[in-house]
Amino acid sequence: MTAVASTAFTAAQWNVHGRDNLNAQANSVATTSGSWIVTAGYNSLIERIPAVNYVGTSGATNSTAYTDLQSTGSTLTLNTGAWALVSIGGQMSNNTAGLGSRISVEISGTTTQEAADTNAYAAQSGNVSDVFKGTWTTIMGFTPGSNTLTLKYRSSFGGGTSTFSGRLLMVISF
Amino acid sequence: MAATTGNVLTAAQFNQYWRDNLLVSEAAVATNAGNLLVADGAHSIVERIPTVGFTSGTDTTTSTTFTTLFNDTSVVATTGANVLVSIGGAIDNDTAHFGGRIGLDISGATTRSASDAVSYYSDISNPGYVAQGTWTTIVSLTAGLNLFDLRYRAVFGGTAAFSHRLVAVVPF
Repeated sequence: MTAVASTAFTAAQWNVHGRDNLNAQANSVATTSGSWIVTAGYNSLIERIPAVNYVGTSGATNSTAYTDLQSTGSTLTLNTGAWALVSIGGQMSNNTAGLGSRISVEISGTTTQEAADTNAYAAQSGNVSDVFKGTWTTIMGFTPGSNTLTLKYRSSFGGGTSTFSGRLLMVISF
Repeated sequence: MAATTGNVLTAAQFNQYWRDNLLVSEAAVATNAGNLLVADGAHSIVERIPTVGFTSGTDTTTSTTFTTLFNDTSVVATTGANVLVSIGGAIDNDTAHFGGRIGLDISGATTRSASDAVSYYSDISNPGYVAQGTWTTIVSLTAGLNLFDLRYRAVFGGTAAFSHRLVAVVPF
């Protein structure tokens, strides 16, 4: 509101235009060190917490459909907005020349999305047990709310046994 | 301004130091969910919109210099001086060890041709073998409206094929 000379604010005006505006500011929304503040709508802010989960353990599968390894994950549960930067990856190899491996991500919670090749880190071995390590980093859409992201794995380009280690999942929600 | 005991703020002072400061705060700048609030200069905050472009289908090229494919993959974003960019896709080449690269051409407020320095690259020892991944980095550019457009090349010749093509931009 705009002040006018010689006109006092009422308590209600101060509470709405003073107190409530201060309570909507970024420093009022902040609760956790290392988080960041993004827009939640018109004149509205919300805090998001970047997260990473790394599983160093090696696991193998001969499944040609996306599946868990003996040790599940990497996985993260966090509150997201409608979009998030997601990075998935790890180290992988296949025991058969010409065959390959894929790492993708499944989402559950307010969002339901199966792991898919269109959203995967993938490589096809030229020779037996060629090793690849890298990531697939993209922006994914979500239904805002609490979402669980879990890496899924498969042998691809024909099968074989794929081995995965150094499995990385990183999410920065907007 | 700093308040002083016994001195009442005038309406003009209140409007300048209270109202006008609130009007440039993060909450005042926010318009839509899911956007970033970043500095645009001294005491200035702006809203930035992350964006992503994706093309699933396969296109090919025999060009050894960066070129377009039949289907374009690009995004437009209003940016500051820096953006986080992720580019990539699935690459194969019909000739062993000839490889393929996905680069990034920028136009608009910035003019920059695709180069190997900012590219996702794969070169596998067998013809037709596939690798899919991304190259993620921070790129400095001229602030303003910029077009981020993928470019492709067969590194040493052959026919390189590209699918699942991705460009994601987080402007700062």
